[in-house]
Amino acid sequence: MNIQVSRFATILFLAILWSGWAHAQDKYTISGFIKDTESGENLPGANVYIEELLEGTTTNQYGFFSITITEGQYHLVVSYLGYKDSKEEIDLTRNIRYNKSMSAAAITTQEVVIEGEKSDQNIESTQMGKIDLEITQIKSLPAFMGEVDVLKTIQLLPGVQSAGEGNSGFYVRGGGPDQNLVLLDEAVVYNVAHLFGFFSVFNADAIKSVELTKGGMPANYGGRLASVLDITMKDGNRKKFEVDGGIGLISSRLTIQGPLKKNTSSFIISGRRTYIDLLLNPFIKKTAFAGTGYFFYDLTAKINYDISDSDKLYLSGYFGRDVFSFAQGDNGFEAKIPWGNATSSLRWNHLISEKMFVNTSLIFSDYDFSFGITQSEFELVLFSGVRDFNTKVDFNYYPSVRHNVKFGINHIYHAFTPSSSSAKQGDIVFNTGEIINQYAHESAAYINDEFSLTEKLKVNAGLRLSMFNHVGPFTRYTKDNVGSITGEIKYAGGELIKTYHGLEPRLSMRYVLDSKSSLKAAYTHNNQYIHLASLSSISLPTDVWVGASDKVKPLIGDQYALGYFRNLMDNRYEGSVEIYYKEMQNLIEYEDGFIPADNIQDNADNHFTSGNGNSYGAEFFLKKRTGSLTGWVGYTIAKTTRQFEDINGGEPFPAKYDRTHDLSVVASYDLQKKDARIVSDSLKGWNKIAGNLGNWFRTRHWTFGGTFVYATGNSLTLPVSRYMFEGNIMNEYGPRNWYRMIPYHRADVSVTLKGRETKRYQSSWNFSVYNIYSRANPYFIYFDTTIDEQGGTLETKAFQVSLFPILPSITWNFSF
Amino acid sequence: MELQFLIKDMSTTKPINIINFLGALFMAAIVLSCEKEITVELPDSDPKLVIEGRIEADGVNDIPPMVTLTKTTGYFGATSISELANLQVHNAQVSVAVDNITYPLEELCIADIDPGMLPLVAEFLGVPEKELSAYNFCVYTVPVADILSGSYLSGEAGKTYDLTVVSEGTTYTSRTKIPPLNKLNSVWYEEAQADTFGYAWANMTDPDTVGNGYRWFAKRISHNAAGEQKDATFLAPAGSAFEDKFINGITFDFAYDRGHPPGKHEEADPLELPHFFKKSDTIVIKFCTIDINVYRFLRIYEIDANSAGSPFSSPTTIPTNIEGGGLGLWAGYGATYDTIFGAK
Repeated sequence: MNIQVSRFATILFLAILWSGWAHAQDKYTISGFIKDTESGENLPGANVYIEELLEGTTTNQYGFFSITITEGQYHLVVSYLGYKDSKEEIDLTRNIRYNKSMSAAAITTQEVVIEGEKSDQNIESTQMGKIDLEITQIKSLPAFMGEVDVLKTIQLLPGVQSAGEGNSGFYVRGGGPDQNLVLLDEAVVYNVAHLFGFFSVFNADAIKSVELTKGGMPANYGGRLASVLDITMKDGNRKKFEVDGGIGLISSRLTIQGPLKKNTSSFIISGRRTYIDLLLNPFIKKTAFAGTGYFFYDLTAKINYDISDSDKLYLSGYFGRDVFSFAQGDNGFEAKIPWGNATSSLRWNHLISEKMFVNTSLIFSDYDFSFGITQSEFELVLFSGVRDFNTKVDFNYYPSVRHNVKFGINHIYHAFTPSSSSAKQGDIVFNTGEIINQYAHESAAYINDEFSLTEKLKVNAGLRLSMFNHVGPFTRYTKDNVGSITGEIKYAGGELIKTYHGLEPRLSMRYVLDSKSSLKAAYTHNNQYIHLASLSSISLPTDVWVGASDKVKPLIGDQYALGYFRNLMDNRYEGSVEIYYKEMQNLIEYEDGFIPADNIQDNADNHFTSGNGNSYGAEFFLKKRTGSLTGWVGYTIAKTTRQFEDINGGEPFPAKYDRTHDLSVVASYDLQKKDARIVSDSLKGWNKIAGNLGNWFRTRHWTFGGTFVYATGNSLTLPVSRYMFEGNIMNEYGPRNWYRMIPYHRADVSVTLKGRETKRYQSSWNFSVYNIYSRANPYFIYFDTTIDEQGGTLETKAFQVSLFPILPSITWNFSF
Repeated sequence: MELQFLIKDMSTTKPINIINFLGALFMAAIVLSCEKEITVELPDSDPKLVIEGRIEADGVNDIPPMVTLTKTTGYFGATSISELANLQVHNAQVSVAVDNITYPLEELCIADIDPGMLPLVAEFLGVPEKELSAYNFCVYTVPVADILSGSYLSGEAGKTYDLTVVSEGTTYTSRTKIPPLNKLNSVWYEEAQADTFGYAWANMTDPDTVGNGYRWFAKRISHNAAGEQKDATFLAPAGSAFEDKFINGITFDFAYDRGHPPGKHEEADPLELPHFFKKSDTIVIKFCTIDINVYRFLRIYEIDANSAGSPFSSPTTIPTNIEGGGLGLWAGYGATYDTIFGAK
């Protein structure tokens, strides 16, 4: 831990304590945990407020809240999306511990219900650019190949773009996929995609909440420029055992949870696996390609334990892997490409007092990718990965109802292996150089306060001090101006090679115009010390994580955002308009002419060139929150450009994911009994079979979902002319990303049919169709030249490859 | 059969293979993918000059430098091969300087070239000699008068050569070197598939210095059923250029498969198997040393020429060693020859 940072942290800590204490007289604190009554799960983000004062707070990530006000008699209201509001009288004459269990507002927790949320939450909250996603809503949307996907859902929000067809990677407001901080129970997940990006690594059954912050990032988060996707796993049902699962066309999943000690401790284990390989195996076994297959699996597990009323322990872990293997028996050729993440976090919640909550976490995070080929006696293995050891201490301090203070410190020890390879043929071992890992310490201290300046103006202000130290052991290859290696500088273990640090101010404000609308503004300055170097236009597991070093500077970003939020028609509709402008410095790209073999016997970061970028845009959002038909429309108009001295002759060019228009329409329709009756009545009149069908229809519970997306096509660099060299036709490429593919659009629908429910058992069938009008959206474009020797002509044609035509799928879900 | 390359050469073929391999597999694996032809609107761009120049030394013969000049052209629509041949640029001033002396080159077209020079020109252009007259190719080379007098500029190992081209008011320059020759220790044929097909193998020693580049060519001089020589010119297989990054200072065996003439996608002769040599073939190996900048150009050029624009590769500009806004390569080659004699 760096001295500077810890000194800063101590001073802050003392200042806060003193200020809090100075105002403590005459006031009492009501604090506690808000839980779900059925499962005992903590409810993060629940609203807890004093009706008479209209002042309150929201529960933190662990369901804890604390309100300090002058003594008196009040009504305490607790409300949370999907639950019945609770209102209780309290007599505040001393500090009160108030733990509340909330009941779900609907009969089952599966249905989408939008009552119970503090209806003007979006007007009230200072945080702009923050979106909470309700898991049940995610589950009601049409799923890609029947798989409910958290990442696919966030791509339906304005300002968040997908990387392309079937790709889970996402871009937020013009930032690259490495600019998003993806956390699973506080552990960083480096690679969020299975199968080259077609599915994300998150199993929706094990997830409790999803929160995306795309602007106004508060000071407790750092290390990435563009966004934070904070995913919290379920803790595990504390009251009874529960088994949920689903069997689908592509994969199946199973979740088991239950109490270890009723109301004190519980666990949850969740697993998922595909079986494309098992399905295809009988066919492949007989061909020359026996041994070829692909599968992925993931496993999430968590245990929690209440040591006492003020101490809780959580241990969670995630392990996921994709394995692709290819074999061609005739040639004696085999390839095996495994990659995946492993994370685990141990957390300890402790209540220091009614006003101060602290969480200490020890986190481990690992991502690795390996590519191995054997051909007869020749073996080659390429490997790259990153491993983090992270310690965090985060305090939530509630000195009074007008202040919500967060402060803490964070230290990560990174070990990057940008690339390592080994090769041998029989007994001859090729010289691929030593493995050069990169080690670094990334640390930060922050303080953040959300406070009401006036009745109408609430401010969320924070400061983060971050630091990055690149340390040995490390070998730096020095090069001459032609690019040949001239020597090596060796650094010993722990030796300091390069330090970077920065102060990151964060500010966001909310000004209430009236009870239905508000204006918000935000400014954030972020430092990012690690980068993802990507070679191709599509994200692959071969993308390499590298840290800042003597060759690579940290990414710096500044974002300005302004928004207008308004609720319409008695809070039935929620609307907003946000505009933003971002500047990014020290972006990196591979230099022209780089091929992966260059990393062997060389440092990965010797091949980067740096530049700047900016992006700006406007996001429009309208959400219908209540009724049987719910959903939203999101539209973004934006532009993002890059400028690198060594690329494109120094001229600005569009980023590869620059997308001018991005539209998403999402709808969920919960068929009401009376409407189902209309359908069945009309069918009755036809004939007996139709009548029976109608009856069957009426007695089941149907939910329909649909999505429509439209986006400007991706930009590409295509050749503009050709020439002959050694008799071959060669391409001359035009300016970087000069070409636009045709727009991408697609509609999906899904139908969920609930089976008969008993007290113990529920099931449902989900039918979904992806790309219902089978649009051939472009995946990539290539050129092919055919030569007619006899006619003496040649012709070049351009071809567009599309991936997914209409794809239906069925999934059967069960729960008991 | 690019898979075979993995054995031989890590510095260039591995990335070709990974990219191609992933690209091919990916496309095959996604059974549901479909493709269709589209039209692409290309922007207008001014044609650029493309320089293809070579100066060679083999320690025995005197080989003059040769340069062809062509232009870039538009992309789509059918073109006749003769139209491409007409992309040649005439009336440029071309010269080569070595040891502080500048030697101007003269433009000679096939019709005017001395028959004795035709084999050399055919080799340089990569066009079988008998097809040369079909297109009126022109090369810039040493003046006819010098050839007739027997005293003309020719390549020498260890020397540095500067090329200057002035065309349509623009000057282009380039520099290359012919590295010292490195003869293979031995060459032989080894069977790979069934009884009759295999690859050409060689053993070499790389000197202990860093930054040595090599290029491999092979030509079958045995005859086919029709009585014609199987390969009219030397052919470079994909991955023919490599450097000594991983093999510095060591002696080792390596193999290459059979290259194919540019543009020919199918094997015309049913008795041959693409990419393979036959046990009965007599193969002449031309093994050249090249300058590191020439290697850098060739490796990217070979990747580009071999990848059909899969999504896994990024479109790169080939690192030309021509200054002044031109494309192409001015290369020095230090060539040595060895022969694998066919078995009965």
